[in-house]
Amino acid sequence: MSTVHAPPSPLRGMLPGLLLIAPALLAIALLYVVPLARSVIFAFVDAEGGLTTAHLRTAIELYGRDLIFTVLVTLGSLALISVISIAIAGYLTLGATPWAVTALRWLYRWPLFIPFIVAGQTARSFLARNGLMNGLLIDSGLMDPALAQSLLDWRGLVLTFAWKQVPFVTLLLAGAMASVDRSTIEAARNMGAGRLRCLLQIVLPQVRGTLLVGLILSLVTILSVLSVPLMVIAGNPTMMTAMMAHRVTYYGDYAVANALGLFSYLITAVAAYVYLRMTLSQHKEGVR
Amino acid sequence: MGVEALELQGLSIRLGGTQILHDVTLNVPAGSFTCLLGPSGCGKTTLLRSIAGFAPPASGDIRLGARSIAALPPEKRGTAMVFQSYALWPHMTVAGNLTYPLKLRGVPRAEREARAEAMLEMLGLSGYGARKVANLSGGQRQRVALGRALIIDPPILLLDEPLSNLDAAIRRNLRGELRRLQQRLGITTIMVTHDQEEALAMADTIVLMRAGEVVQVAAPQDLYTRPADLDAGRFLGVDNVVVARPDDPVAGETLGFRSSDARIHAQPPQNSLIRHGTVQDCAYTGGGYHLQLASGAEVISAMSDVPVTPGSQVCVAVPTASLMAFGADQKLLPN
Repeated sequence: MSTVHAPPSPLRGMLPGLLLIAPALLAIALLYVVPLARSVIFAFVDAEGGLTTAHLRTAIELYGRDLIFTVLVTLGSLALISVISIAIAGYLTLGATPWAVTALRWLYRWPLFIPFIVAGQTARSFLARNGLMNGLLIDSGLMDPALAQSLLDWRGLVLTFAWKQVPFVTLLLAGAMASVDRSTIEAARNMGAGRLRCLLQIVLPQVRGTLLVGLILSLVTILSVLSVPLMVIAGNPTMMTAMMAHRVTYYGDYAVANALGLFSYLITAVAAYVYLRMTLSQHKEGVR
Repeated sequence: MGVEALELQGLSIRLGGTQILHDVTLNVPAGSFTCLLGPSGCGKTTLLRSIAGFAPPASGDIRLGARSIAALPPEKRGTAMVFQSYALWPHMTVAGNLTYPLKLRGVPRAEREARAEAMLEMLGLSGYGARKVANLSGGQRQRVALGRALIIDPPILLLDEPLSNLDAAIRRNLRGELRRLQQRLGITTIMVTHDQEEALAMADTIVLMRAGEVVQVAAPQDLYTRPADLDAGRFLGVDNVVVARPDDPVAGETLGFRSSDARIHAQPPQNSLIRHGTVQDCAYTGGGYHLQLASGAEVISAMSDVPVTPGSQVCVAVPTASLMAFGADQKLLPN
């Protein structure tokens, strides 16, 4: 007697695999996709359950300035983060004074282990009009006491975000730079390039993907931190996170808060798109 | 920049507490092709890197032409180095790699491009300018690396095992090409290699190094036929060393020769070193048969045109001209 082997249905073949990843899928769906979709949908739903753009309009009307402020502070922070991270990682890679490199390697990571709320608190006592920074400048005779001003505005935000995120981006960047083929740097120096040129024209182009990843992750962090704007900045305009919290805690107005959240998604979506495009084109190049 | 001579005076280098080079003194005449030859770890690459400025000397001086370059940073020395790994800049095109050194020297764009084009033509890579270096073969990368070094018209060219990552056939081709190019341009060239055949085929002068010291500086033929000591001889393929006997044609403590010079004879010829022995092993090597003979306590490698049955007694002879006599201190004795 011959047995007939029916070809197994594709779904049946996939079943064990699906079962294995089901807990993870479920967790992602319940904890991430559903709340995200809910908040996006509720930004467009009115009290009677109909579709509306009223929340969106309210958000823009009331918080348009905060939106622009958020974008500018974020871009400013990212610019400062890039410059300082490139400088530190570059020195760690190309520095010629061994003890200075060791000291820097040891020091730069510290802010990684300090929570945002503490960073905000520290910034507050450091950057205020009669804070530590102005005190030091005045005591050392570098600044006239009459000129002392508070930096607890957009500058304080930019400085605090940069202070907190520079170690993270530097960590990624220095790792990438350390894995750049050392002989490509030596070849450039041999051909007449000084250290700074080597950093900007030889090393940096080889690690720009890593820099971009660091900056995108920092962008997402900056857009989600609530404690720093609450601690550092008083009054308007402020970061969107503070406004969303305000809307929810004082008015119980989730709809407008959701509409504000939508703008955060849009900004991070643009960054994610840029990142994906870049990694895909790099991947294609690698395949070729 | 014109072609210049290089002079090393008492150069010593320490890296991480280890003495890599001991008091190296060397003169490289302008326009010559010098090979630094030696086993791995003998300090030859460190010597080359110290000329380029990547290994600071503990003492001694490096002079290029009339000026001392020992204290200058790499970018101020004007030497052009070709790295073993090619070290092409992966984020630039082939033309970008060639023009970058010119850009650093402030050469205008139009001239940069013209010179890169001419260089590509000279290297047989016309039309490759717009390619990414990742899309080139090993041999092509090597040429681009060479072109990048030559495009600045350097006073001295430093080659760090430039052919060691290539297939044997491409390697042999490029060897000839490189030598012809060097002769045509007349550029002072120093090449590091651990391959004695490469050194013998390409160099005007070979600097044989061992354990951070220069053992011998000689022309290829002289080095091959008259190695300074027994170790140098062994490195250069002297695979037989026998204790000298009073009736041997050359006097010395030990006598060295290459197995290619030791042949099997039915009748012992005149004016030769003669040894009798039992064939232990006979292997075909393409051009002939390679034999291992037991001659008393000594084992001798020799060649034969015909196969020989293991166990048979044979007579092996080495012409006097192929013998090297070494003293008790293992140094080569004068003829």
